[in-house]
Amino acid sequence: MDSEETEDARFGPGLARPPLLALGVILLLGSVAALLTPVGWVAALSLTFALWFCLVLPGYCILLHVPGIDSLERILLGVPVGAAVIPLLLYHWNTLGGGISLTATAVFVLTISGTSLVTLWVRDR
Amino acid sequence: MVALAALAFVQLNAPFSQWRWEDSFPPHFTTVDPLVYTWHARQVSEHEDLYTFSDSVRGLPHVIPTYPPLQAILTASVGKFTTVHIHHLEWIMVVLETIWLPLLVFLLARRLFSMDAALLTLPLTLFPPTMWLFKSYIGHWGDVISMFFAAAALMLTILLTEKQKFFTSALTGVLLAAMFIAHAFEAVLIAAFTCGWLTLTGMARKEKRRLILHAVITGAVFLALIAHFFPVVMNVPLGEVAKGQSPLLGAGKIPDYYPRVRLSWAMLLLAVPALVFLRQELAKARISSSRATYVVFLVFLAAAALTYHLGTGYRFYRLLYSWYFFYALVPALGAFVLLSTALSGRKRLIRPIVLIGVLAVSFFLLRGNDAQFKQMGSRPLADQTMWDAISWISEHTPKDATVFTLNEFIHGFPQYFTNRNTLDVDLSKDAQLGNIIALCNGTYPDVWAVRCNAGWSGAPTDKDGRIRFITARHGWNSFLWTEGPLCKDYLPEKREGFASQASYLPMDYFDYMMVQYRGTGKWLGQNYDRCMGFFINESLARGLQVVWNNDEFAVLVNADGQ
Repeated sequence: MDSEETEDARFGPGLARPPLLALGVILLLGSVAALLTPVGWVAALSLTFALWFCLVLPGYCILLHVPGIDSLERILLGVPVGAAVIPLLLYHWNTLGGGISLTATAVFVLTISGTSLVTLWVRDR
Repeated sequence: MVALAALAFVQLNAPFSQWRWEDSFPPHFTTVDPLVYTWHARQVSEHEDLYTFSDSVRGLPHVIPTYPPLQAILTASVGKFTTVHIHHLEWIMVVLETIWLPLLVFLLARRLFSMDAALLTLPLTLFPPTMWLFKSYIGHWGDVISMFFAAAALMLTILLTEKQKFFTSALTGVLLAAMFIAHAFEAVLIAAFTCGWLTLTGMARKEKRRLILHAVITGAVFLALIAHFFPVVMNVPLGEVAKGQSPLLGAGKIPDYYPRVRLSWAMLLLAVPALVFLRQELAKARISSSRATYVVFLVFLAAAALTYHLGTGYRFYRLLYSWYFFYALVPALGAFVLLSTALSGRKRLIRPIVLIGVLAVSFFLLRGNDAQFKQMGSRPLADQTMWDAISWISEHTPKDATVFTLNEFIHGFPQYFTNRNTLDVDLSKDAQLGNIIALCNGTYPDVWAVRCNAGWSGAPTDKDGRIRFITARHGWNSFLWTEGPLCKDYLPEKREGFASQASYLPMDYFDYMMVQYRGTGKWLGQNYDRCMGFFINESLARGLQVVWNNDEFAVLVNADGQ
């Protein structure tokens, strides 16, 4: 009874595949919700994008630096990691006088994700 | 897995939200706790600030919340990117956290044992009997988000026992800090487990210093990130001391409406082969550090929860509702051990049988839950007629208006959504119930016995039991606090003939009154409320005016208050 094979992240085009696949899956679920329930298309699709952007993307990028896990683990474990890191940053940003705004959230998500990718690129160069 | 997780989401979300995701009318909750969390998220979303908490907290424009705010920040930040109403988004986030815990247990099972064992955990955790989802539907959402982080922290702890990386230990500290700012109680326990277990594992191994260093890094990151919030949350235990409760443990007795947890015989029997398997591994000294970490975590959480029976308080008992999701891996592993033993010569058959079994058990359990959740969602705390009254006050009265809700006949009427200074009648208190009894007896009271809670289900109190709100912070542990202007000259008192306290206010103290005159006994089959009918007629005779009404509610304006 052995566990699944794990892999360490390497910088390259393959890195984008798991989060884009996750986006595709949740967009599909959002579309099903819009088709089969009273939820409107704009609400369903904007929600799926919001969840992916605020939770999946930063969490996945951060976990690229954790060795010994595979892509599925990075996506699923990335959600609580994203849900922890971004609100913690916003909490401390707010104590310094910054607002819990769309701009602040977007800047933190993009900075965290971008920094993770750049440091991975530098490491693997 | 995706399809089952989506079904689990629908199972819990839809009966309460009724798919009205863009509507301001909140989901059909049955207790006040979800409404408090929902209102909190709305405050953070509207003000984009944690510290301008509400327009309606005891007449104060600026209050620092002692509530752990992480859930509200999370919902508010996600809400900036979607058109789903914040009142519904809060519930969507909680349901996602609820179903993500099973997905993280799935990952643990897959890492520690096998994909088949992991698949077998899915029906048991995504569609458990409704009692295990109690914390989600009753509104203990701090616990829900906290245990969602706990599962992730456990996974990283397991990774740390395999490969020690400073980044992983720092990230574990981040998750523990998020737990603390989401709900402090569980974080203390899980942080003790993580740092304690890493230290113990290190002491038992050659890389003693290395693992202890990782435990120190995890603890240091955790403490650094909670340092700002820690003194704020310490104001909550002061109130608990005043109520005669232990600050760490909370109240002692489990409330009556809590379902008493019970494991089914099937779950217990299926655990036996798993325990035999683990026992064999232990005897051969083959058990990996990862599996050992999981087993010790399971025992640690169960032991902590069961200290309730030693009198530690029901917050510990509440851990059992979350413990189930981690435990479910054991019977799933047992089922897998039985299956692989029975099909030892035909291994290719295992996966198809597992998949068929997972689908069959999922749909069987889903059917049972569906009926129960639909029943809960059909009896909401606030319905559309109540919400219309609340919305009218929110949109048509001055921001500083004082609003009195006379017949708050259901515990926790969501009047704080009015965003006004609110006073209400708590009908579990005999002194305040006296208002209604007097009206039913044909007497219009001279003064009104009210609860000056100003929209909080439980306002923070100081060590002497007085309500207080933090309005400013001067240093790390230095706060300015006040009781607020509302009811300041009408402190709660106990009058002759009543067991409970109330503040007794004259009629001209209020600007508006919200009254339900029909449908107050709708669950009992009653309709027109003659007591409230008497009140409205007498009020009109005294110069008050009805400024708005629908089929059940009326809003009266006090002529002096205009």
